[in-house]
Amino acid sequence: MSATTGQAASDAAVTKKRQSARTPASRPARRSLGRHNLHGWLFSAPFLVLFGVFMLFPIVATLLMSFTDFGARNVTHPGDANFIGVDNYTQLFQDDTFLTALFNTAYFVVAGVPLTIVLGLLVALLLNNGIDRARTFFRIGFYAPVVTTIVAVAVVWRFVLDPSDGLIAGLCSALGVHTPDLLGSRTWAMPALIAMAVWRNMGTVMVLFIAGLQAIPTEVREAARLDGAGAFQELRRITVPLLRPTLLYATVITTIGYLNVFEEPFVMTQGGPTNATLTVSLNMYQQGFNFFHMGYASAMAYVLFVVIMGITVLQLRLMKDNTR
Amino acid sequence: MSAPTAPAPNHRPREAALRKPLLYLIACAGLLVMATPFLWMALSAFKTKKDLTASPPVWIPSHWTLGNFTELLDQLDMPRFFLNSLIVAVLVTVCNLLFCSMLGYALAKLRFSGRSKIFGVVLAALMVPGNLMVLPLYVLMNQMGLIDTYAGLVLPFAASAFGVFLMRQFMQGVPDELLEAARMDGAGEWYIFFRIVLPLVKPALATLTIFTFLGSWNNFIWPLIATNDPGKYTLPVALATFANDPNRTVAGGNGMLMAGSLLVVVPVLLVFAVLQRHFTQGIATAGLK
Amino acid sequence: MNRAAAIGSITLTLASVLALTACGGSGGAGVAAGAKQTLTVWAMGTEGEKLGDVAKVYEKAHPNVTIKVTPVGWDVAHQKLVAAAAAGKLPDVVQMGGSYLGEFADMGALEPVDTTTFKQGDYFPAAWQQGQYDGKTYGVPWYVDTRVLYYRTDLAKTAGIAQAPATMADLQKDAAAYQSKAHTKYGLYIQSAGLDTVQSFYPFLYSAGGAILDDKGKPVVNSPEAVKALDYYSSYIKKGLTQKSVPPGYDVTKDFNTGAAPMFIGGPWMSGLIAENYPDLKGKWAIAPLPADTKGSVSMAGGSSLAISADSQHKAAAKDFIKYLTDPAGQADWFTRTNDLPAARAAWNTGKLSTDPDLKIWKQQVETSKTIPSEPKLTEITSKVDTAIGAVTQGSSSAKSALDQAQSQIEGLVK
Repeated sequence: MSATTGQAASDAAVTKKRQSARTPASRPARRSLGRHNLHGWLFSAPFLVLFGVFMLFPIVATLLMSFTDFGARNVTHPGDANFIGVDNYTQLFQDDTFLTALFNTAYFVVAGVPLTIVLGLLVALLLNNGIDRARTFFRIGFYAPVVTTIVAVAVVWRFVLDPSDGLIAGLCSALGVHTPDLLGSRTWAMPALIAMAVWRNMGTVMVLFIAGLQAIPTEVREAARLDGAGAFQELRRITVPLLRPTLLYATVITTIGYLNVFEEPFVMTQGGPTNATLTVSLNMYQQGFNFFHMGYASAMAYVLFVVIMGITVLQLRLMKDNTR
Repeated sequence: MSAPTAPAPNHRPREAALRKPLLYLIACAGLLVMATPFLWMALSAFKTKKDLTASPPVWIPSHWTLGNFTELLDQLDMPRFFLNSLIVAVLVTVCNLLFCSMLGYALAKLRFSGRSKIFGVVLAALMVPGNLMVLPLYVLMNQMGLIDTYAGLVLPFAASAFGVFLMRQFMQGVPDELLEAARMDGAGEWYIFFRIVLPLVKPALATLTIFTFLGSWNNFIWPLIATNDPGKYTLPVALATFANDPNRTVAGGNGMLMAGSLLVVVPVLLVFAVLQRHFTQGIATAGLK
Repeated sequence: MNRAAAIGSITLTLASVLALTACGGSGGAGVAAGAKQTLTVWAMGTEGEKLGDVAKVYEKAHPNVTIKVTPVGWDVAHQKLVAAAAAGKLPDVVQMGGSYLGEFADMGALEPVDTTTFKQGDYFPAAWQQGQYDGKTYGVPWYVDTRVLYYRTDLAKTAGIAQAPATMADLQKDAAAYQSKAHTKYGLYIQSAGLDTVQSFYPFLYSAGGAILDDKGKPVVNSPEAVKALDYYSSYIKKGLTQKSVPPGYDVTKDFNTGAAPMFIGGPWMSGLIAENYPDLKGKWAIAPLPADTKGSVSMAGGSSLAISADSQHKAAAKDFIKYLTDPAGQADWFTRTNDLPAARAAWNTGKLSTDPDLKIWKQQVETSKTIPSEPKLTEITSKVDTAIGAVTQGSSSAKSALDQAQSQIEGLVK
C-alpha cells in the first residue's frame, strides 16, 4: 500500500506501466480485457443514460440556439427563429461589455483560485494534523459559510463592507485609517468580491483535503519525521505529492466554479460600479433572462464552455493526471 | 491519523509545546471569521423587528423571540416543504452515491475501450454552463409529463459529473494489486466494487454525500421552474416566494427569512456533523498491508 | 455522411419537440363559466400570499370553481413565466407587472381583454395604459402604484422649513437646509446608479416634460426637457445632497429613521413599512405631493394588471374571476387586505379610501401620473437609461451626450 502510493506520488505513469507489465501475459490478460470492456460499459450505463436523456437535449438545443437570433417572441414560436450563422459569436468579440466581463472573470479566477486552494489546504492541515481536540466543532465552524444561504451571507457581507457603519470601516476608523467605499469603488469592488468567494468556498476545498489527507498512511509521515524532515519539508515532499489526485480535483472544480461565478456579484453589486464586477455568467444571465437575447446568451455560454475546457485540459496536463 | 484522539508522536517536545497553543489560537481566529455570518443569521432569527432594523446593528437580541418562527409556520406549510426537500435530497444523494461511484470505479480501475471517451463526456458535462439549460430542459420535462413530480426534481440531478470525477480521483488511490488479487481469487466485478472498493473509499463517499445533499437541499432555480403546485415546493422555493418583495425588504435582514434560512441550514449541518467522522475511517485504517 | 445524418435527425427531433410545445394552441374558449373547473392563478410577492384568502371567498360564491393560487417571488417571476410560456403552461390568470406585459403580449401568450366588460373609463388612465400593447388591451388594471415625497417634519422644523416643498427648486433648497441647519448627512435620497435607477428618475423626467418613449412609442430620451431633468437630478449627487453610490440591498427607510436621509421619493408600501418597523417615528414624518416642475407634479405610475393566458381552457371563468377582483367592491376589499391602491376609480368613494388625508394625496398623484408605453424590450430599454444616469452621476459623461447615446441605442430596440 504505502509503496504504491509513494510511487504514485513521484511518478504514477511509471508505476502503471510496471504494473501492467507485471500482469500475467496473454490469455488471462485478454480475458480480463473482455471482462473490463463489458463491466466498463455496465458501470457507465446509468450515468450515460441519465446524461443522454436529461443533459444532451438541452446542450444541443442551446448550441443550436447560439446560431440563431432566438428572442422572446420565439419562446412560443421557436420555428420562427432565424439562422444567422456565427453572427452572435463575431458580435460577441466586438462587444465591449462582454470583453470587460471576460477580463473580470479572468481576474476573479487568477486571484481567487490559488487563494482558495492554498487557504483550504492550510485549514485542512490545521484541522486534521495541527489540532486534536474539538475537531468536529472546528470543522463545522469552518464549513458554516458553505451551508449558509446566500441571502444571509449577502446581509452580513453588506454589513461588513458598508462604507459608513460597516465592520471594516469601523475597524479602520479605530486605527485612524480612511477606508474607501469598497463596493462603490472600481478598484476595490472586485477584490472585495474575491475575498467573499474565497471565504464561501474554502470550506468545500477543506472537506476535500481532509478526506484526501486521510488516505495518506500515517507510517509514511512518521518515517519522514524519523528521517528528520521539518514540518514544511514534510508538507512539500510528502503531503502535497500524495494529495495530488485531490489537489487536481479541487483545483479543477474551483476553477470551473469561479469561471462560472455568478452569485457574489449578483447579490452584492449587480455587476457595478460601471461593470467593474460584471462577470461572464452575470452578463449571460442579463442578456438571456432580463433582455431575452437567448441566441446571444447561448453563444456566450459556448464561448465560456470553450474557455473552461481549454483551461481544464491545461490543468489536467500540467498536473499530470495519471490515468489518461 | 488513524485514531484521531491518539496523541501524535512527539519527537520535539519543546517545539511542540509551543506550537500547539499557537495552532489553537489560529484555529479560533479562523473560526471567528468563518462562522460569524452564520451566527448573525442564527441570532437574527430570534430578533424582534426593532433589533433587526436598529442602526448601528444589534448583535445579541435585546428580546429573544420565537415570533419569526411562528409567523413563518403560520404563513408557509413548512412541514410539507421540509418533507419535499428531504425526499428529493435523499433520492438524489442515494442515486449519486451509486451511479457516480460506479462510473468512477470504471474510469479509475477498468481498462475498457470507451474509457477515455466517457471521461471526456464527464469532463464536458462538468464544464457546460448550466443556467441556460433550464429553458430547454423545462420544455423537455413538460413533454415527458414530469413537471410537478418528484421524478422531475430528482432525475436531472441523479448522476452528476462532479460526483463521477470526485469518485474517480479517490478510487485511483486504491491499489491495483488488491483488485488483481481478488480477481485471481475469482471475485466478480460487482463483488469487488461493493465489497472491496467502496469500503476503501468511505471518506470520498462521505464527501460526496455532503456535497450532493447540500447541493440538492439548496437547489433553487430548477425546483422553482419545475414546480407550479405549491404542494411540491421545496424549502428554498417556498422561502423565495417572499424573499425579494419590496414590501418586506429591510436592511437588517428580514426576520422571517432568517428564521427560514436557519431551518434550511440546520439539517445540512447535521448531515455534515455526522458524516465528517467518516473522514477518519479511511484507507489508512482498512488494514490493507 | 453519417455525422450529417445524425445532426439532421437531432435537428428534426428538436424542431418537432419545440413545435409540439408551441402548438398547445389557443383552441377556442374552452369550458363555460358555469361548468365545474379548476382555475390556476399566479401572483407575485405579497399579492400572491394574500390572493389565496380572496380566492376562498370567491369559491364560496361560485361552488363550481376551484382556484389554485401559486405565489411566485418577484425576483424569479420573469424566469418562471418565460419557461411556462415556452411550454404552453401559463396559468389561466396571471399577474403582469408593467414591464412584462409588452413582452408576453408580443409573444402571443396573452388573450386580449373584452373591453365591453372592462371599460377604460372605470380606471385611472395610467393604470389602463399599462394593460395596453400595440393598440390592444391585454391586461385589466388590478392595483396602481406611484411615488410621492416623504419628509421628516421634526427635522424640517430644526431646518427652518415651514411646509413641504412645492416646486423642484424648493426641493433642492430644502435638501440643502436639512443638511446645513439640521445637520443631516444628506438632504434627499435618490438612487444615483445601478439597476432600475430609472424608477427613481421618472418623477423628475415626467415633471420636466420629458419621457423615454412618447405616446406613440417613439424614443425621445434626449429631448431638451430630459437633458434638463437629468442635469437637475445629477446636481443632487454633485452637491453632496445625495450619496454617490448605493450600497447593495440599500433600505432607505433605515436612513429615514436615523435622519441621514430626511427626504426621499417613495411608493405607497413604504408608509406601512415605516409605521411597522419604526413605531417611534410616528408623528415625525409626513408625505406630500411630488414637487412640481415646468409640467406640474407628474409622478410615475406602476402597478400590476391581470391577464388571461391565450392557451387557457377556462377563459370564461377566468374573466369572471378578474371581474370580481377589479370591480369597485373587490378593489376596496383588496385595499383593506394589502394596502394596494385600487386601480378602479369608483373604489375610492368608499370607507377609508374616501376620507384619509394621506390617501387623498396618493389619489391626486395617481390621477396625473404617467407610465411608459408597453414594449417587448422594455427592460432592455430602461437599462440603457440606467446606464446613462449612472454615467452622469458618476461624472464620466455630460447629460446631453449620455442621453444621446441612450437615444441611439433605444432606437434600435423599439419596433
